[in-house]
Amino acid sequence: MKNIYYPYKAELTKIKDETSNIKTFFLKLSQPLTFKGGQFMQLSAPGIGEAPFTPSSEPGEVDEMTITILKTGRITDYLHEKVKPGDILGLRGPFGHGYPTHLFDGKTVLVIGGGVGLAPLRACLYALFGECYDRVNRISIKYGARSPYDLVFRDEYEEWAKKEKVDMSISIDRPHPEWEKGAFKFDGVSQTVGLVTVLLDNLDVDIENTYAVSCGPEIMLKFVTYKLLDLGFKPEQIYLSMNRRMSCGVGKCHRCNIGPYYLCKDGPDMCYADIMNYDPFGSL
Amino acid sequence: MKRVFLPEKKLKQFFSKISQEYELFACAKSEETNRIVRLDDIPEEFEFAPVRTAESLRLFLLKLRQLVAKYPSDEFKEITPNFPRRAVIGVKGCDIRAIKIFDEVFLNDPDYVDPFYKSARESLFLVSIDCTDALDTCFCNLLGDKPYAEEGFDINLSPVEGGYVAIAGSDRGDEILSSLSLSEAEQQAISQMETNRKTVLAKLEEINKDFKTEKSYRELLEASEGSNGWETAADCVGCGACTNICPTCFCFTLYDLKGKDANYRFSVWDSCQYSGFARMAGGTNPRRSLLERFKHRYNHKFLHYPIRYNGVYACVGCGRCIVNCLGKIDIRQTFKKLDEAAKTAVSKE
Repeated sequence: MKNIYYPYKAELTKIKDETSNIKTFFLKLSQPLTFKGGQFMQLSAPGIGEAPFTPSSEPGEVDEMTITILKTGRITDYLHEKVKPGDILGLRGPFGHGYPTHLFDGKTVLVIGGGVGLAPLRACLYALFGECYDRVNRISIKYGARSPYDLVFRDEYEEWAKKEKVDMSISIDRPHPEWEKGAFKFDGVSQTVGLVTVLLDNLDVDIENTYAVSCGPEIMLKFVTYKLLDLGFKPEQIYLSMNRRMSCGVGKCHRCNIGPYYLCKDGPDMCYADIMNYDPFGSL
Repeated sequence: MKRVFLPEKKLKQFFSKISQEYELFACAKSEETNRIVRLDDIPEEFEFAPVRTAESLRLFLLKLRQLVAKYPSDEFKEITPNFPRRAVIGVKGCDIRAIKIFDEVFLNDPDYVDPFYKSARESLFLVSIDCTDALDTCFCNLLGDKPYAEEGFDINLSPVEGGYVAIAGSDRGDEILSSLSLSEAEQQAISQMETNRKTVLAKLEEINKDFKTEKSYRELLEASEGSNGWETAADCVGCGACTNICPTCFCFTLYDLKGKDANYRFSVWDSCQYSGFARMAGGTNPRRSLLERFKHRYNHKFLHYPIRYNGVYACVGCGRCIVNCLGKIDIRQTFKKLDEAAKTAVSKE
């Protein structure tokens, strides 16, 4: 009988610093797997524990993947401080549904990310730039981080923004001298100062024909959702990456639920219409 | 399946037949608390607990601490079922129904089957016995259930004069009953069984008459957001006793340990009543307050679980949470208060 709790070996081949507290881990898998953008993996730090992460690399059938991780707790501290290339880590998954790319035909996709939340969205963007590109109408990326130094995947924005169907705007939470000086200038990318919701002011998309997908801290998701609703989005058009604490990843341990939904099995990207009646943001 | 008569004097034979294949456990009557006891020797006679035992069958199916993986060795990639074969005799209807609630999550999930639960479940042989009494905390009748099992057992026994009316609920049960060459139960014994069932049900109705609610528990929770009927929560201290003693609670957490030669992963019981249960790395907690966690337990059992799994409540009315609560919170009282608050809200409108 297959053991759903057993982690498969994955070799860490490289670690890339993204910001002062975010690193990308490059993994070589012991057996190939197929994942969709937004599906997540349980990554084990051997003997320490495992935590759920959505890969930041291109989805599909792969034998390598990258996972971009913010240093923020027991397991991520260990991954940031102790592991090195050549180490064998553990992986279970992929779990969950992934982004609803089947809905995007002829639509504008509004991708809203905050901080390290751009990492899972990057897998979504790869799908949008790849297999979905001919089918979608437009891809509008809104991304915010605390400071210019907290922006992840900085060397890729210009390339993304160059694509015909793509527009991108970014913001940093508070004014920063380097930002004002133009030390962080991205060609073709509109840049401003303020929380990520300011990027939704004067939104120039055809709201009726748009889907919004968002990933970031839950407090950001809360305010992004309220802003989108104010703008006239219907709950059915909003998809949120509810990346809560998980343990089993397979709908058993009952830790990650919002109402009757298990985020691990039914999400982690949830349609707001499904969860809106179950106090989705709790006591945030 | 036909109903047969198992005379008291054949009980020893019945026990010993089952013990040929299974390690034997039975629900024993005691002056203080009824307990599930292990029978190393076959007793000459045995007095079964008239009501539920202190512990449920949960420990037989979900170990407090289960080794689920050793890695990176290959040994745990596949699990070979090797759980000890055990029989529990004298289980009450509520505890039989509780297993169905686990089954939906761990066994009948089309995507992921828990191999450890499956192994334990398939190794368990269950003989249920009708309740012959009711505790003040029993409330299966309020959930529409009965003080006896109608399915989910291998064999069910109904105590009557001089023995038991027995019926098999599975092929394994049928084989055991057939091997004892029992005669068909007479009409008189069956009438006695039915009378006893009615008597206990009537006692439950009497015990719970003041706890009846106008709306169903699920309806009350559907409309409970912002209700001021949650006053019983004030006595909750968040100890988690209700979830640990519950026959239907199944939350667990996985944790890893570094060993000398390998890494070990365990699954251990957890409780949604603890503040760390849903707390995320970085400190964000979707259920930060005791009240939210208190409501969560009710919502899960009577609203979320039924929505996900065919309308069935994840509660069987055994009342163990009432007996074991440090704050003396009575689940029936919580719903009664919610019902009263709902009525007041309507009359104010």
